[in-house]
Amino acid sequence: MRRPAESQENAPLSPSSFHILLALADGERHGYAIAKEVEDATGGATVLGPATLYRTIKQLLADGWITEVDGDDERRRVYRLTARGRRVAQAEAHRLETLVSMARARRLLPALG
Amino acid sequence: MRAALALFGLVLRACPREMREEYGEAMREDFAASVRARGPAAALHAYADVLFAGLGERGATIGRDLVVALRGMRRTPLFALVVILTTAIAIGVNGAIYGLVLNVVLRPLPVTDPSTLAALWEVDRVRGYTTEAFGYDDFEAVRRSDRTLRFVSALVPVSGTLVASRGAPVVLRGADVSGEFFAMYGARPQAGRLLDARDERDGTHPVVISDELWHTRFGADPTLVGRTVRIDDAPMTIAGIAPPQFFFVDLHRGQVDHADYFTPLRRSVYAGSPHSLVLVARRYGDLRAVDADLQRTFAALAAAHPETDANLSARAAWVTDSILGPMRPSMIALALAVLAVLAVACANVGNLFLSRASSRTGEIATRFALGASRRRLFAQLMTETSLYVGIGGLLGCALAAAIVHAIAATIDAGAPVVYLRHLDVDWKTFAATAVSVVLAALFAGAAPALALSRPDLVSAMKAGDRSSAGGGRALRAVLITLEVALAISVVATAAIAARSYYDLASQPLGFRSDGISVAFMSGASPHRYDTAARADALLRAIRERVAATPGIESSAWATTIPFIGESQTSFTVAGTTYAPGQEPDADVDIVSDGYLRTLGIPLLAGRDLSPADRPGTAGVVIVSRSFAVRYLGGVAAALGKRLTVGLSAMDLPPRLSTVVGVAGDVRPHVENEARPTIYAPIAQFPRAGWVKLAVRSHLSAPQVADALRAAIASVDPTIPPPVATSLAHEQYYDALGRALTDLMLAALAAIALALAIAGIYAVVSYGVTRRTREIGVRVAFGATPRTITVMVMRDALRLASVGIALGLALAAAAAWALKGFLDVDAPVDGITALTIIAIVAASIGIASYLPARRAARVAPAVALRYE
Repeated sequence: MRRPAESQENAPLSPSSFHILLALADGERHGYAIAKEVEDATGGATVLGPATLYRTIKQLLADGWITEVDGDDERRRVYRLTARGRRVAQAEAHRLETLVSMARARRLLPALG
Repeated sequence: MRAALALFGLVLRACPREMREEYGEAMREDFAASVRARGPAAALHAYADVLFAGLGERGATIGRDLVVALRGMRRTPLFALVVILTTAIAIGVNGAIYGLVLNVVLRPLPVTDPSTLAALWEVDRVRGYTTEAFGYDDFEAVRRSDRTLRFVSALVPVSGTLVASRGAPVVLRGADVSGEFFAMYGARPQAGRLLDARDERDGTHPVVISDELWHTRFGADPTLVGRTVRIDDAPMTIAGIAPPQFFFVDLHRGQVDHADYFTPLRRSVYAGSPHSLVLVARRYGDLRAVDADLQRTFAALAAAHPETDANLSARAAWVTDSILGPMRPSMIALALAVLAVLAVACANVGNLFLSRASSRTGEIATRFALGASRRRLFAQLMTETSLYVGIGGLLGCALAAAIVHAIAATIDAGAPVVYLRHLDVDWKTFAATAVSVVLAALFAGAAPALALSRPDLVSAMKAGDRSSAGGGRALRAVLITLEVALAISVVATAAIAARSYYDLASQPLGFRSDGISVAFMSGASPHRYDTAARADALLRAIRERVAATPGIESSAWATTIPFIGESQTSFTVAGTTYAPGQEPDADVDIVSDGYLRTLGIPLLAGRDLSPADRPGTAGVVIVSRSFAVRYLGGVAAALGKRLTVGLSAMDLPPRLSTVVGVAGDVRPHVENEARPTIYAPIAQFPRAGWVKLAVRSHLSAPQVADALRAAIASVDPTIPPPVATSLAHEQYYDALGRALTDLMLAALAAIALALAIAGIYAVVSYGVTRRTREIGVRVAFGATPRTITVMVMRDALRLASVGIALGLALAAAAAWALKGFLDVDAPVDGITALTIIAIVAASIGIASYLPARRAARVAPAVALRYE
């Protein structure tokens, strides 16, 4: 059973979904550029394989969190974050931030500044 | 790089087709770019990713389809129920019956290399009978002159009383075997040695005991070999222990059998005695050369002993055919009936899916228009079919197990074939059957799915659910015809088999089996009762004591009793001359006085046997009515005629006896006609071992056994305690094999008919839905509910009529085949045919009446709303 969109937006995101949303946060990119951005940003720790990448993209498109835009290159499809996608990414970032500050409070991570 | 890309293209196939179509090109380019940037490691990573993510995506699709299918199931529960039940029944019945059939017919006999074992049969060319029993000299001749066989082995079933230091004496089943016996079966001893050629010489007394006896009577004592045991008062040395689960071919009993002990078969015992040796040999090659060889051997024997062997010859047959042959026909009939049920079930499932599919054309066309690919739609429909068939399959497995256990429970105790006593679902067979049924059902579901996944969009959407999918109609008609035809042929087959059997079973048996218990006494020492007078005194003493037990009305000794054992003898009528070896044969029952009274067999003329008929008085016999008519010129003329009864099979010397009475005919088996029978007095044809006491009383069989045990103990405590059974029980098992076959056929017929009716209901019901608009128009133009009902039912009957006609033709063919098969002499007669037609037509009427009434209630306004 598929849940209504609202509740889904509150659920934790899969890592690859979040990475793709992050990669699109500062502008539109095509598929390979997203993968490259994720890899660079994580210092090579996260590599999205082609099937994982497009499977996730397909799901994000279906959920309406990203959308396809017309690029200059006919062959390459370019994706952009939607307003809802941005909200979802923000919510996930907040959720993670809360978790991190809890970890700091319990001295699992050094205190800030 | 090119190779890496090609491999990538291959790996991409793990992804669902849609994903490949949508993103395949992009993935390829990304793959090329990342390999250029990061080298071969990136390629490996990409392969793994595509493989796992691709398969994950496929799984997710199937999961979604399953959810859709489950929702559909909830929407149309009746449809789901019918499909699931149909599948379950088809798989259950198939699994169970084929499990049994394969157990009986196809499972190799539990002996080494059964397919190369040949049974030898002795043929009497003049009297035209074949017997499994050879004389010792015949065996010697075959063994000596044979050039085509390996290991010609002989066996004689015997019995003996084991008196062990602990426990009561026990009667054991033994076998005297020739030297080749164990070698032929390739048996290896567990301890000590088995018997071989040197044991045929007199002097020593070795015995080989079975694994079971070793465990039950000797506590699996490892030091047993070399010790002495007493069997029938004779000391024997235990030479070895046979392997566990050692079976051999016993043609006397027509089965693979086991024995408790084995002793050497010796010339000194069997030479010149009645024919009793069972011959089995190994043959690598065909049997024609063996037959030629046997004929040469017997021609030489006939020349050497014209007085005894002039008419004898022999032939060989495969053991597998000899043992399984009699069971095959009914098994084949059952297998065919099950196959028909399977076909009906598949046609039914296909029909149901077709009918439902057409009612969903609108929905499917809409999804197609919304961009679902043909492949996706097909996959979805097949997922749905698989779900239904899968659930049905699981239920079917449970059903099959239940059926087999029910049948096993019915025949376990009395199974005539030892190694079939523990029937179980043969899971390998069963898995194969289940897979084939599931495949068949999927195939049945695939046709509508294929038809549906390319709908004619425009017309489908325009007309909604009502006018489309005409293409399936012809297919549905064919399926219904097939269903009805097969159902009718199975019903007819079952009816014929059942009727022919009950025609016979309902004829009087000629005696009263109710209230009779039979106790078996065996193991009286042959040394102690070696004269007629001693044996006679023993039996009289025991019977007198039993008769004193309260509740016992009458009792009598007998060697054979209806349902329990039989024996034949040759005889001559005084005053008639016979060519040597051409004396006629009849059944012979050696009985005490009181036998006719105890079994309720009427005395038609003359007198009964009396206590005054003693070993020393004039020889007398009673004959049955058919014997009197056939050999003595009628009931009245029979009295006073004199017979010489040879009793060769019982090792008794011929004796001239006067016919003093004529008794009514008795059918010794439920399925058999009466045979000419001689009743000879046990006092004059003395026996002490292997006799049965028939008792008419209100007591149970164990109570009768107790009475006999007490009587025996007070007369001779060395005789082992008797076992008892009731004649009603024996009668039940006598008829069980055939009754079970008929019962299963009847059950299959009922199932086939029910499935066919469900199929007709589905089709008519669907037709009514499809024709709602047409019916609405008719009603608008003045058709009454009655005319509509009649119209719908008439159409249904017309649809079924071809099936009925075809089915009757099939049934006639089946009857013709059955005639040779089940020994059933019953064509499809008018009454049976009419009854079947009436039943089927009535069923079709009921199946179509419900939807017809629904049609009659169609309100024109509703039907025409969409116009």
